[in-house]
Amino acid sequence: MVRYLITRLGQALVVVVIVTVIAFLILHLLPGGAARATLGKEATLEQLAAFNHEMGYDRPWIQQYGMYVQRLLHGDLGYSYQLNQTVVEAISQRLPKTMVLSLLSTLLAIVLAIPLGVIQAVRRNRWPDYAITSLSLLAYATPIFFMGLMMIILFSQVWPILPPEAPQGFTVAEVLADPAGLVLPTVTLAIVTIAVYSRYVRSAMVDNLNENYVRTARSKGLSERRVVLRHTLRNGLFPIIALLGMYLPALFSGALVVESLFNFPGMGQLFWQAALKRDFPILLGVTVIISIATVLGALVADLLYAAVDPRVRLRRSTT
Amino acid sequence: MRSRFPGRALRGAVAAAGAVALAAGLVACGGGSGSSKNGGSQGKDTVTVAFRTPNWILPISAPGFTQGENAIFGQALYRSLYQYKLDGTAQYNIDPQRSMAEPPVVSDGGRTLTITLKDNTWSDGKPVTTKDIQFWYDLVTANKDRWASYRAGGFPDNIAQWSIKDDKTFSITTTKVYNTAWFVDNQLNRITPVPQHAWDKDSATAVVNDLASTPQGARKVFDFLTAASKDPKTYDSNELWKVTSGPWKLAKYVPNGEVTLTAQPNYSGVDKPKLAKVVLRPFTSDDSEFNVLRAGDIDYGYVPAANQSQEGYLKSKGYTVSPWYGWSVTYLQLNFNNPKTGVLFQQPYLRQAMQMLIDQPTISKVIWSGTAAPTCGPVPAKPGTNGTDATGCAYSFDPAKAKELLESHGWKVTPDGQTTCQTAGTGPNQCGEGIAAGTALNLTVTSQTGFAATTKMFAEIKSQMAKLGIQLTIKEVPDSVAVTPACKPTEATCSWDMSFFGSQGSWYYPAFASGERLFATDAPVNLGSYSNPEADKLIEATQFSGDESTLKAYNDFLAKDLPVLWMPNPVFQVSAYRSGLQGVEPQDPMNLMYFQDWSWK
Amino acid sequence: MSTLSPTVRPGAAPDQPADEAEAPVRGLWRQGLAVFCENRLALVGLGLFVLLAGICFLGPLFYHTDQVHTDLTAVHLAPGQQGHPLGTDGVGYDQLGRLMLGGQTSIIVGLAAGILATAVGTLWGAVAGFVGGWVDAAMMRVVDAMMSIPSLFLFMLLAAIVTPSVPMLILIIGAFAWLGPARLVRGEALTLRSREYVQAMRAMGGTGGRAVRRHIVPNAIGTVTVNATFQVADAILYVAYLSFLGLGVPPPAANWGGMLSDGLADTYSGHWWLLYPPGIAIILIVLAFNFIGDGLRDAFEVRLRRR
Repeated sequence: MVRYLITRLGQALVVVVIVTVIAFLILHLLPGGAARATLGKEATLEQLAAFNHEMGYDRPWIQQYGMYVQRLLHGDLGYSYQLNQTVVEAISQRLPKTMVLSLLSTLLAIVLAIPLGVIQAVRRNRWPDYAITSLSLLAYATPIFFMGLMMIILFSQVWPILPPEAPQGFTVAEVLADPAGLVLPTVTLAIVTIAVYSRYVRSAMVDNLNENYVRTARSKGLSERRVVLRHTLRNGLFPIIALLGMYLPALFSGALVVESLFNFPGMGQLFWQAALKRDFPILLGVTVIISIATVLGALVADLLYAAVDPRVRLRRSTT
Repeated sequence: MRSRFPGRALRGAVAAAGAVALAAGLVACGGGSGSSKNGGSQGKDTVTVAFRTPNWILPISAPGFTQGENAIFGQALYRSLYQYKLDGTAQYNIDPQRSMAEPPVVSDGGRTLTITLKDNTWSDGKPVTTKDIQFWYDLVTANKDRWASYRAGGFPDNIAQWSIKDDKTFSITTTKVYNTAWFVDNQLNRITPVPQHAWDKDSATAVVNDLASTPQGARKVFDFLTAASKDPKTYDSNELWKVTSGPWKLAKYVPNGEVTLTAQPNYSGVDKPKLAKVVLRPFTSDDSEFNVLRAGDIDYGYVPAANQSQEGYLKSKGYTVSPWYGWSVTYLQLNFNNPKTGVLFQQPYLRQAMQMLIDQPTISKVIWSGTAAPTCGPVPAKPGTNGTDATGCAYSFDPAKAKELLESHGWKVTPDGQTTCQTAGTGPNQCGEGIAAGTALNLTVTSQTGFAATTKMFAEIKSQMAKLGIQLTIKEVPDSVAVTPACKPTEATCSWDMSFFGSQGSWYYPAFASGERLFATDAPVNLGSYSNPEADKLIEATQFSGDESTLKAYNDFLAKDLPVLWMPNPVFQVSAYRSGLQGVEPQDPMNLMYFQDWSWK
Repeated sequence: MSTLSPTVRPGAAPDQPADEAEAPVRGLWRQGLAVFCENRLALVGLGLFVLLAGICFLGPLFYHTDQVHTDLTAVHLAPGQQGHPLGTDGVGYDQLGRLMLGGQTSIIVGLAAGILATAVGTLWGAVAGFVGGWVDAAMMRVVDAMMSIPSLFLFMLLAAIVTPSVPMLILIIGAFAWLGPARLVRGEALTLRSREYVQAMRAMGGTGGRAVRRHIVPNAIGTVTVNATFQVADAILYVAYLSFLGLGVPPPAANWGGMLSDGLADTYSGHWWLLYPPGIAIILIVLAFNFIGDGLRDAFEVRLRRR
């Protein structure tokens, strides 16, 4: 187990390095570079040159990459000209908000999606299944923006019971101190996730409910409830594990549309604005973080597979 | 046997959902009503304004930090020597009330300007003297390369002599005789007194002395001040920023968040603040700002272009909706240096034909819902005279005339097809120099994504051009400024034909709307590399001749010569503010906001 | 009763000569088709898809509208006015014509990108999960790496280099969308490969490829079809996002996702015909694919369960 972890972490490191190299390369291939986008159309050629020199963009990209890695190892992710902050400051200002929203919405989604998926599977092709299926697909195909906007109109204008924007604080404490403001953005994000997760649970459960071991269990006289919960639910959770593993990076990348609509400047907004303005330090810094989260997410997912299904062996397969 | 499990699961899920809803309801009731505690006016002496967070506090602008919000924030804390108003009443457009000095006295045939400071004090009681002006001058002269407003040959390169007469008077002698109006409006607007007695040092613990009087010392001081300005989280705590000359002091500053200004009690200017507190709130998007505005949680906001129809609703909620006209023009840049299509743009008749296919009045009325006005030439229309018709424009919308122009110059016009050059050559009714026979009129316009009005505008223009066989391809990118730079024909970056840059393609002028930055040969923002010796002469005249009519001559010439294609000019924003808020009008065409004039009825 | 999967017939090695093993398989195809047709919802889905595709591709032959020239005198007309059944948009284009035009792009891109992503991802994940060991590690690390590279700036680079077109859109969307199914299917494959029937089959000399083809992929089909449905919906909406980045087909070309995002700006203005029709169209096509997917899965199950 320990060997497995070490190997995986080693692979993770390799992936992160490759990702940063590729990201670095892409950014530096962007025609036009960062200077004009950052300094605006009124900047003179001398100012552009001074900017490129200060940020090191006039050096060969290998050298730039080397300098970047060196600083990275000292915890220095660079300085964002756009925001007039260091990248570390910018990210640590936004990360708590994003994590609170992401965690809350995923928790809500899981809590609701699993029972909904089970119901759909067990009542397959009957009206509860049709109803939930239709609602799920409706929720999925509706753009998040529209859903959020409808919520705002309904719950903060037509019936003014909730605020039209998310909590404005920056620390976790400040964000949680305004629970009313968290309701709408969390629900908006969760609805789509619920739709997706419940469909996967349904599908996996449907597959499993017809398996032979289930028939065996039923024929042994076990109650339906026991059959479903004990035996099939575990296996039905497999796609959820994969999805959760893919979800870990979202904890860091945020949700642009919801942040934008609810005035909740998080990592999604940070990244998007940085992309539009060619703010390379921020883009690279966030990429490093997200790539770490992605490989860790895959690792966690694999560990969970082994935990849930003992037949899955983590070591090299003997088959 | 029918299992009861699914039923129980269903009930369980319903119960869970119900619990969640109930919790949400309780939380909602507990957490307060729809009006959040973040917004809304918190009393009769506070105003909350939708405002992007400023991110530069040093009153010497740095490249990349010249956004409007920084200018407004800067003026709230550190007044510039001169403020301007464009109502046509003031000499040199100087606002006599707000400025910190009297209008300059001209002598020596226009080469010397003598400026007398009014009596003003810093927030710590010390008087504002010419030592502060000298300090500013030393700093910018030694650090031109790091100053956003510096242009080679401009201020301070064009100062032959700078002399301090006494602690209230100083004089400037220029290298050439400039048009005083141009010099006062576009060069003296940069002067901002900075507190020499508090800032003339190179570290927080050093003692103030005359360090900046030498260039090396001035660079050290500038390094120190810049470093402090690059640390926004200390803006409200750093001692440096506590010495101000403006009507407001910085009470609280959250980077990328809210900024709170409180009235400066010993402000020495005439326009004393009537309110006690101003809260500047940023929004992540126009949509979130509009939602909060609709909910009535903000005192001064804006109506995004897409929601113009909501004016009635806002009025019914007690808001005044007022378009804010900017001192600006909007245009479509043509790349004269494009190796393939540059020769096409060099032909005046072709530019004229294209201009005649842009229906500015209808686009302004329909696509911009009346919040735009046609641009006729490089000088904006006088404030207050903005209508949506194009009277006074050299070229009005006239597809028939455009067709005639093309045909009379040897083009075969194929409506909804491909118009090609039939008779190449340089004769009077031939296509023109460098245009081969068979050349088709295929052009690409690079514009910015994310703006519905821009997309619609170009769809309309494309449609009109297609009717004459001019095929316009619209290329929308999120970063159009970056991909359409000024270029030489041999460079790879010169493949763009036409560019509509920035969010609306508008250019905002200082008080004197001359074109030395836009339309002179090799001017810094002459991205299309337009070059016309006649235009250069007229632009020079606006800067150097004392004749007031030079601006009109320059405008009329360029309106006809079409260095760019003129486009409808949208308002800066459609402001919406509570009707009880007074002092907001007239909204400054130069996009400054004077919070000190605001008060509640 | 044996707990082995019924596809392993006792007394017969899995790798029988083709002609003897394939005859029952053809019968299985026919049976699968029959099951598909029995599933009413699947037929509804198929019918819905045919209807929508018909309207979008054949409609313009009967219902002519000018989708090139704007008409600023007929802007934002309500449905029914001046002969426009669904009104007009912000520059005077007929909305119904716009929907048809947009549908052509959206259906093609959605279907093609969805199928491409699902096919590539499923195979990748199945092979990785089944083979295991270092092959699995390498393949999955590639997936991790591609997932980490923010597609956003890769798209911006592409926008500057390539000329956007419909095939380019399909490739771009497919190039990133296959990562999801790969992860999902690999997870399924992990568990499936240790199932008894697979082990038994291997013990009897079956090859890995056969195992992947006949056991892993069909058993993962449930997850795959659910994912495929979402892929199609995603692809249609993704076109709008890519258009924003400069990779979409240039205006005045239309697509449902783009019409929907533009229509969102009209939420407050009361121009509901710009917002709901494209939204409903997207929902309908997603539903259609979902039902078809369910039917397909049932049909596949027949091949396994041998009813």
